[in-house]
Amino acid sequence: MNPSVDDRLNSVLRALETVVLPALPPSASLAHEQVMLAMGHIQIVQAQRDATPGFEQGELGDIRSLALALLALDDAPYSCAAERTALRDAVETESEDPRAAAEAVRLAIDDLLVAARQAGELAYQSALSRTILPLARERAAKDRAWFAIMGFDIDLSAA
Amino acid sequence: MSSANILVDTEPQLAAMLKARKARRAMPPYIPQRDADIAALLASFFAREEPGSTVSDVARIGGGASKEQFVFALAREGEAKRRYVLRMDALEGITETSREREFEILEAFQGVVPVPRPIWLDAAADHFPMPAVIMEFIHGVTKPRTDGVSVTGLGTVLGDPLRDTIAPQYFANLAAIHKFNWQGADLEHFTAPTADLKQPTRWLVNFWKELLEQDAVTREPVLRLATQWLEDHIPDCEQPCIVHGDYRTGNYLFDEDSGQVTAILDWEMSYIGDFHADLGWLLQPVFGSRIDGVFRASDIAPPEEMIARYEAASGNRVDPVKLHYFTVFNAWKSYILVSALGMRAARTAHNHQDVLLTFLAATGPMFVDELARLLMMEESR
Repeated sequence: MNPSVDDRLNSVLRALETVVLPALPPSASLAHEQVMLAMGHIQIVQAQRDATPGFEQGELGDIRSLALALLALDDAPYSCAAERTALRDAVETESEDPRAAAEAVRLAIDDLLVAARQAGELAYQSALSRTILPLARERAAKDRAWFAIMGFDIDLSAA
Repeated sequence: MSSANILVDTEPQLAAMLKARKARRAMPPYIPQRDADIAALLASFFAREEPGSTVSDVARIGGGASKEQFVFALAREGEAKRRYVLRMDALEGITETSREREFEILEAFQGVVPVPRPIWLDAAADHFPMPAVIMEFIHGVTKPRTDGVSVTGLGTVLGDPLRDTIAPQYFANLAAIHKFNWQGADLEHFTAPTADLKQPTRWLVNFWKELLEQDAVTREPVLRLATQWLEDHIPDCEQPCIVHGDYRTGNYLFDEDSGQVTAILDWEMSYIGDFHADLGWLLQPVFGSRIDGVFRASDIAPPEEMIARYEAASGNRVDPVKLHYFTVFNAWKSYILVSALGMRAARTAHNHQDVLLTFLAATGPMFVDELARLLMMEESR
């Protein structure tokens, strides 16, 4: 039977905790901190591992939904046509790497926002903002929950 | 002229720094300094600077996400040992700052608020492998022993009764920083933004925008919207003052027994600008605590009380519109620090704390959420 990922990571954690940490002299503060952080990272990666593919597909789905909502907005200035076409292409491009695909969509949205500002049509810029912001909050809520395990988020820690 | 040669419209010293950092991007991974190598470098440095002196007790200081830091003892001929701190750049880090400016601002604030005295400067890395400053060691802690182990420095809880002892000093020191007569100080590596009332904050936004452009590892739509909003709503700054840039609990030392603040640290992001920037920074949720449902900024007091006590200590009147602007700005700046500079430094292996930088980057969604919330308030007006 092959050793599982958890078997291997647990053995790394145990080596760090029982062999490496005790071997560090008290003066090696950076090394001590780095080992503690490395152990924390590994434990969090372990906790998130099974859910990671679904999480990344969810990220891609959300940014594609946002892009489609932006493309559905009326009254885009003619000068944004190229950026809108590029955004549609990014949404429709298939990729085996969900993170790369999501980033391609984000980049295309960014280009559209820059072009819209240059076009100077305030109504369209405002429509873009009003579409992006609530969806960004929905996405951020998922991301915050995903990273709540790291203990920074006092709102989620207190919940 | 190619765009690579056009300097950003910001403080001239910072514009030059922004240009210089591009050249470092292609450099090979940064290898953390070894204690023994630092000891040898210090010995040769002081053989020249303080002939007859002896360096000993060299040890790395933990914490921090941008500089390599070491404490050591120096015994001059016929004198007792005194302890000092060496702060040295990595190739890249969570901030982009100047050791010359840090040296100057610490020197300027001697006797104004408690700060370490800077003694030696190697701004051009003539002796040390990277730009470095050496300052006196100050006794104190950044968090009480009861606060547990936190490698990141976020979420420090002072607790009772320490909080009540530190709070008046916290406000008095911030007021003293903002009231400081910078026009009369020797700040050669700072430029006062006095061309027009918007120049202080325009320079500030341009500096951080350029860092975002150089270092972004992802293109968050909210960040673009925030950048545009900040550019469109720059407030007037009638009385530019020294802005500390990172004034919060965790960035000052105190004596745990007496509660006396012994040193205000981390001046590297200081500049001449709008005092509301410091308030927007210290009020951020990420630097605060929530205990029994009560949020305390910097674990000092709830936000309304923080503002009232700052106004009382400083005599400055806090403008809610400007405070809102700098609340947006600081969420934006925080994202740039952790999710752009920190992540870029980790990906290029240009820092000694990559594992900390990728840990801190997980705070990014908090800032995206906060920016979206704040910008939605604007949209609904």
